Amino acid sequence: MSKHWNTAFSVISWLCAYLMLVLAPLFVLLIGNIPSGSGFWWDFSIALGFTGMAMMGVQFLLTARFRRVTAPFGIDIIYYFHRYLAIMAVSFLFLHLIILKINHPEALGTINPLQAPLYMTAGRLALLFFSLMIISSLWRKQLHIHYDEWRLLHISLAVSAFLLALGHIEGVGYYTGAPAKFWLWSGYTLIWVTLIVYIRLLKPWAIYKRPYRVSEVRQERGQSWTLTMTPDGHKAMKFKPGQFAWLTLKTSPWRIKEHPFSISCSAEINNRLEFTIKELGDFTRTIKDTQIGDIAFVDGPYGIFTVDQYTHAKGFVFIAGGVGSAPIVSMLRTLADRNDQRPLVFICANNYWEDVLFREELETLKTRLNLNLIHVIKYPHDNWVGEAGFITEELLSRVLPDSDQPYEYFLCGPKLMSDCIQHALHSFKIPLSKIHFELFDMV
Amino acid sequence: MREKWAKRIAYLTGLLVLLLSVMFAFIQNPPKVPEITDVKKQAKDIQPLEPDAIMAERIEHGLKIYTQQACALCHSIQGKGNPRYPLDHVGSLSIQELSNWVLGDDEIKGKLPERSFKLKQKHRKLTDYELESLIYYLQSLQTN
Repeated sequence: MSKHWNTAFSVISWLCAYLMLVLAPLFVLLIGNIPSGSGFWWDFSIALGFTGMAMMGVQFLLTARFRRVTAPFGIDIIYYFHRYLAIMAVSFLFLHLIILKINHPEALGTINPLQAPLYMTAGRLALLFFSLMIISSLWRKQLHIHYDEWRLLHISLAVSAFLLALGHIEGVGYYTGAPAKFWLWSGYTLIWVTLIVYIRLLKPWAIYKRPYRVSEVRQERGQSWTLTMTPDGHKAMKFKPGQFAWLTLKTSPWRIKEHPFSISCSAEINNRLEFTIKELGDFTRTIKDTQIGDIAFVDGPYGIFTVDQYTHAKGFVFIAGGVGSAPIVSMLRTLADRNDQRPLVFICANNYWEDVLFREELETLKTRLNLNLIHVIKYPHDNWVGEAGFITEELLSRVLPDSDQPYEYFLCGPKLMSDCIQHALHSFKIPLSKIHFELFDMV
Repeated sequence: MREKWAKRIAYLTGLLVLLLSVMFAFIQNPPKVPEITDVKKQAKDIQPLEPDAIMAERIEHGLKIYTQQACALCHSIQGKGNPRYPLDHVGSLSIQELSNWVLGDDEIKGKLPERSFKLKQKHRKLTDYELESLIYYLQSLQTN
């Protein structure tokens, strides 16, 4: 129970910190000599502009990979926040414009960039760029934007939009003329610039100083490959089983060509890293062409999708589909190396028996662990006697431990599968705080 | 489920920000009690202009200059434009005072933000005729 209160306290604390950052511009406007209002709708519009801008600025913090921020929630929650808060922030910025357009259209002046003041054009462009960011992120696949290109576009638009918006705020100048307000926006700009420098220059430099070399490229079942890499001149990164890292292969870490993958080896091994990757997209289809000796850079580890986060759990339930087994197998391998005999259930779903990742090794792990392994095959062969079809609520009700047992549940697989299973677990009265979810496909 | 909860909390946070923005606007614009004596005093002091045809033409030209210079980006007249710095009462200022304000003369330095002061100096590119027309237009503004 105390863990639930700790989590609730963490959530509330971080939300309060977020609100303080976003609302700081409004608080500062109210200190000192409070200027007389210019009408409710005008000041409401200005407040929306400031808070929308502050929200977009804080977006950088959410995705800056600060472990302290992600630790209470998990990386998937942080990315959902990032997405939905961005939608709200851009909505506020649009409202800022719409209210002015309706109530004070003359104050907007001409839209013609050749005639309008630069700061007004900057504001309009900033809004356009923020909108393009939202559109390209929500509909990346439908727009056929390659993931690497999308990342570059996202970062370029974010930086450009933010700079333009700052130019607009400075240009308008009515609320920033006073020293306190000037220092506030200077402070925001400084934090933002520091973040950019840290994420795009300093951190890649630290990663560049600790390279890895590919030492094995092993084909696995299910169109997957395991890359083994050994540290080149330094100790291998320590991680917790189930965590992931950002992998840059055969290119510089400054080039923004990193991809997140779950670490699949045991955390008890300290001289190498293994990533198991399925051929699914433009980048992952090239994994099989990786050569022994190729250079790699690893930024991590990240995530709280790990059994080590719940050391007091009486047992664990793992439910995975396809390559979602990768982080689960890392946890199973680690528990086996630790001779951890807590009861485990692993429900492993795949389309075909031939595609079951780590199929043989899982049988070996059964002998080393107190593991109940259940394969669910969507298209079973004729002689199949195990579970077939999808992971259903009926199957779960048969194989899962009683809901009052203090187990922790780890889900990793296609979103549709995970959503259905989360609903099923919820119907079994399993608290949401005990269900942990790894997200492979955010964009 | 996790996404649903994250979405709910994100939207609730956004709604809270929206409500606090509304509160900010209310704080900035408390309900005002009209001061009847001040209105009477203003009405007694201001002499309404009675322009002849030529003056009417100059005032109309002044309005065009006002529009061309995009003064509404910073000022409002009868609620139209930026309400931050309304010009509805400037008709009571003298020609010299209006000229100082329009051109960003050193006389008014310190009475407005530095940035606004520098922006006004761009109006020094106006011709004498254009400046006069603009000032005639501003002088025509008065309380009803």
